[in-house]
Parts: sequence; structure tokens; C-alpha cells
Amino acid sequence: MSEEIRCLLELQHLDYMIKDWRNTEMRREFQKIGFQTAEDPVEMLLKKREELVKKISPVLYQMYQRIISRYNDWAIVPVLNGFCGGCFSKVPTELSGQRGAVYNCPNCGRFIYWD
Amino acid sequence: MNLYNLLKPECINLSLSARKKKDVLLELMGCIRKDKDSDLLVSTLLKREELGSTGIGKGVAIPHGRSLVADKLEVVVGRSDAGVEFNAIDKQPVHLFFLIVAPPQDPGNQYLITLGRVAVICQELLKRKLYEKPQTPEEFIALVKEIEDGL
Repeated sequence: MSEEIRCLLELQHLDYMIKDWRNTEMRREFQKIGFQTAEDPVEMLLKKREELVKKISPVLYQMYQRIISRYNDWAIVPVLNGFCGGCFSKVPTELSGQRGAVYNCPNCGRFIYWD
Repeated sequence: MNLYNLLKPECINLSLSARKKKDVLLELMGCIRKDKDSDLLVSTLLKREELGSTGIGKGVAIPHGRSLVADKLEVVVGRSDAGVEFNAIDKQPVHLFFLIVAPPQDPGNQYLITLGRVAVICQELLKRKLYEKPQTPEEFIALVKEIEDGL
């Protein structure tokens, strides 16, 4: 897995976390369970996000943002048995030889990576 | 929803050897993923821990996170006789872990429901240190089932 793909995946994981902590119901349940946080968790996560974004090329980050706003779910997905993990369409076999590089699914445009 | 239905013997480690936070997360993750993706997930779990420890006191921790690496909700149980320094809210070592990993898209909000359920079951397992009794993963699942049947 290339460093770029790893950073994009980390960014996506952070975005899931931010989404959860922005969800009032989730937050209430977290508090009920007894999870404590030192300060505003969303603020903390946003700071971490900013730091992470600095490691990603502006072009890739813009693409990431565009994909997320388009699908509102995930921007980077694994290729599973030759199929895109986002739209489940067949990924051309010639791309599979390029593991480690950053590619977009020719059908849905999401970033794809090979496990 | 019953927690015991989500527990699998291969995802229960009753003799954790790790003594530190990152190591124990890696050991727990090893029950479900043994590839490089487990590193990425552990990194996400550690980021969650930086917000505030998921060690909720009395020797229990419920680390949790979402990832596309998980294709379904998974629960891993770990028990450490020696205890793990996990920076829990009461600063006591953690002996019982419930690691929850869920995919980002989660129909029916199973992730949240499972988190709540685990917290309830942990309270019961702590009574008379019931969690110390099972000697095998199967016995642990049977104990959780017994608790849930009695709730």
C-alpha cells in the first residue's frame, strides 16, 4: 500500500469518526456508556484532519472532497475479487498490475486500491 | 439484539500477553485481521483513544472504530490476567476488552446498539468478577448468553 493510499484511508477513517462525534444520538450514547473526552472531540479531530491533509497532494485531496460530496459515503475503496468495493463494477484487469499506485474506478470515480 | 450471537470463539482471547495499549490493540485485531490493514485499523483506534480513553473504569475497555476494512460488525473479546495500562478513566489496569469494529455504512445502527449492549453486559460481567471464570471461549460465550437470558 503506497503512502498516498494510506493517507487517504486514514483521512477517510478520521471523517467517519468526525461524522460519529457530530451525531447527537451517538454522542449521547458514548457519554451514557462512560466514554470521557478531554476537550471538544470534533475540534480535536478536525485539527488532526488538518495535519493529515498537509501530507496529501492538493490534487488528490480535491478529488477526495469531490468524491465524498458526490457519494456521501466513501471515497477510497478496496478492489475485491476484481470488483470495485464502492460500485461493484468490474475493474479492468490491466489496472491490477499497478498495485500501489492511486487509481480511480473507471465507473464510479472512487479511489481504488488492492488489498 | 443479543451480544452472544456476535461472539465467535476465534475472536475471544482469554490470555492476552500484551501489556501496553498499542500492543493489546494489535493483539485483539489479530483475531480478525492478520494483514497490513490491521495496522491501519489500529492507527484509527489509537486516534480514537487520543480523544479520551475507552477504558471506562473497573478494569474494562471498549475500543471501537469504523472502517471499510471491516465488511461487517465484528466484536473481539480479550482478557488479561496481568492487566494492561490503558489510561482508563480510573487509572486502573484493564483486564477485560471488548473491541468493536464496524463498517461505515451501518444499517439499523448496529454499531451504536452493540456498544450500548456491551456496556450493559460488562456491568454484569464485573459482578463478582464473573468474567474471570470462563476457561475457554465457548464458556465465555455461554456466560454472556446466560447473562443475556437473565436480563
